[in-house]
Amino acid sequence: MKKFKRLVCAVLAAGLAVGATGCVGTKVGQNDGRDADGNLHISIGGSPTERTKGNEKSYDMFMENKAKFEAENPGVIVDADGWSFDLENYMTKAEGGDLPTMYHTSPTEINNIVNNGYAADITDLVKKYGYDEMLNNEKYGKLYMRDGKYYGIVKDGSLYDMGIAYNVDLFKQAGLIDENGLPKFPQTWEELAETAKTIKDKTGKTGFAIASKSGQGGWHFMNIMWAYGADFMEQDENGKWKAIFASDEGVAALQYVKDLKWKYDVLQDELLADIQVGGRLLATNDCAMIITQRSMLDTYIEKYGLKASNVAMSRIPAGPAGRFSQVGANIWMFSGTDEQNELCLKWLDMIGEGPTVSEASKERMATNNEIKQEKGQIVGVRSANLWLNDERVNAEEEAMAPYRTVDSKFFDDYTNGEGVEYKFEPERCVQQLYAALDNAIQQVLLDENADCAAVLKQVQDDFQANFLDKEV
Amino acid sequence: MKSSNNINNLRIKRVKGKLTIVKNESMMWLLLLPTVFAIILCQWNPVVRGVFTSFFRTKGFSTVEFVGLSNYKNVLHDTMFLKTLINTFSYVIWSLIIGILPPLALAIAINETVHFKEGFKILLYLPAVAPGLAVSIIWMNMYSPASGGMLNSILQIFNLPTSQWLLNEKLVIPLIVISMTWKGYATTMLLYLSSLQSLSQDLYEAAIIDGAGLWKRITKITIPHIAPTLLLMIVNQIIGVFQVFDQPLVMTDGGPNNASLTLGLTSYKMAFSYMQVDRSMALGTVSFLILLGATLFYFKMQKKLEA
Repeated sequence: MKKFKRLVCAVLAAGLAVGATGCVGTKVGQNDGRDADGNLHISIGGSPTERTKGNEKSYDMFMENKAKFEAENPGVIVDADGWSFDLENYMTKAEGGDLPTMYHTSPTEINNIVNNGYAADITDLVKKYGYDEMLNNEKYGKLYMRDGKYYGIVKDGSLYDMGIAYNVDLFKQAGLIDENGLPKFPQTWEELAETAKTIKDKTGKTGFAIASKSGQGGWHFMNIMWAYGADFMEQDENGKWKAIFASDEGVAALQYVKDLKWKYDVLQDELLADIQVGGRLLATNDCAMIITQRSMLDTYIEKYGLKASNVAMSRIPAGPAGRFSQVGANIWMFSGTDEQNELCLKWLDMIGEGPTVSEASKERMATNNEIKQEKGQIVGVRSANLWLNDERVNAEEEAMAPYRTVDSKFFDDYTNGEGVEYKFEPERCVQQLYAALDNAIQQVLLDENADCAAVLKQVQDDFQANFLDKEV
Repeated sequence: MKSSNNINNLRIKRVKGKLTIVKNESMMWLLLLPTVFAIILCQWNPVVRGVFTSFFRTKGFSTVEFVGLSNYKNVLHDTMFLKTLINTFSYVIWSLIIGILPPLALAIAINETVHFKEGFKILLYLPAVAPGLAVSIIWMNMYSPASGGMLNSILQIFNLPTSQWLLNEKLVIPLIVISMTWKGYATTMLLYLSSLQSLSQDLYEAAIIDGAGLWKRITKITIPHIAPTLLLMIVNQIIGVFQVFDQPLVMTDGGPNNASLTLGLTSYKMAFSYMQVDRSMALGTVSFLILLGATLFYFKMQKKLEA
């Protein structure tokens, strides 16, 4: 008995220490969104919840839209929800039925969100509101559609592809400016390494900053691997997925990354870095080039004081197989009942993020650009074209013109994207793949004697065994 | 017949005895009830659900299909499992090497201090009130491999070669453990100190009269007196460090080359990055069983000490 008591005590003590979680909870549309007075609530993720210094205009605009929408739709209340997608608390919010009715996330997460039953199928609503005819589904449908069904809509203006961002000052210091005053953009990855070396030799600053952790290293490295001709996975005749990135082409791409450190010595000191490190170094004039998408520059402006006038962007450099750039976007996802989700689409339409153009939507676009201008962010560079209707595209162009903060010539090479082939993330276990590629990058950056072929083979075998083979 | 009556009487007496115990202890059980209820609801409910979930395939947090030991098979056959397990034990071992002595030494030092004792206590306790995330970021910056990094700058002052710090696979775990020790030593120190202060000064005075020096007083009086607290702290440390995940998450994300990846961090990534709750629960249960072993060991050791 005494032994039993001790065992119970031990189990209790260890149990208190672990505290694992597990509960069965709600899915999409579990809450009907009605309050005690019968009002129907919809909540919009990533909205300003209070008026603070610096966001006065965004807050006021949201409140104006809210008042207008509620007046047009009696019995409906729009709630601002400050939450933006965050992996750390997504699952708990989703299970607790605490997700905003509409929130945005990256395409990387969509498979998991859909597979776990947290995403509403909005196909009927999309068709009802005419999005299906105006969205460029042929080109971008992979971002928000699964098995022919719509699970999301691209957040207006968030569509991006990868390119190289340049610190113009450092290029000037290194004498790498052409007759038009533009940095001499490297056309190939090899040229990029040479350019980075010149920068380092002439200025002593980091030529090129690369990410290597938090999955972001793999995310960026993917673009280099495509350029060298590598692919990531394929499906066999039985429908089973096989990892194939440890090919000669993949090894050549990894060797290139290794050379950046051990042959050219152009990388940052903080080799275990996420993308924020590169952004910070670029902003503080400590680094000349990073891989990034245009929208991230606004983040670096806000967080690290990057000057919009000191940045240029070019399309992604070419490798032996061509120029390849990953396409991504912020995707609006929906978690409410059909009724709530429909109201969200109406909301998007009213605030000018829908496919149709109205005076109100033109005004909203202009105000958004005015806010960005005040924050010193980049206005005047178009993102990739999501919409098929010219009226919508022209309205966006017109709304940008009065608030331009950058000379578009510094971004023309990037926006024109001549010769760039756009790619989407692989279909399976994307986060795990990014983490695996992070690991390969870390190994070759930290060990001069690392054998790229052996490293990549090991990483591929682990990825296959631990993830693809165990897919249900 | 007589013997059968005796047996019946004995049984009745036993039952009566038990009823008396229940009656006498009923108030105690009544008082315990809210606590027991709270423990079951807040602590055991998630643990039991976690173990339960580990035998199912999940969709989000919901169980959809019983899969037996399949999740355990997946977790234990993961090519990174062994490395992660070794890493986790490595954290524990380094924490015992690095983490045991500082709080003990500081507790003894404060106990021996005559002046400004309270001031020292407050000063030494300050790291414990710093937010864990902030501490990790501060140490991450101190360990910066750049030549301008804080520790590298100090090395350069003395013309010593700079270090890669957290980028060094062999150093990464002890370096993270140092940051954890800095954050956690103060609470342990106070517990040692309270134990020391319950020790009668007469014993020290008698030892001094007998000619015992400082070292002898520590080894013959202090350590034996605080041994139960010391053991409890060691076991607590093992349990706490075994679950480490936030420091490597912030400082290295498990790198370089998975050298600082732990069971806790892997479990976290499975659940929150890869949304594989079932496997995460299975891995959590494996950790739980290992910790259960450590806790049983603690009770065994405590029994020995009590004897």
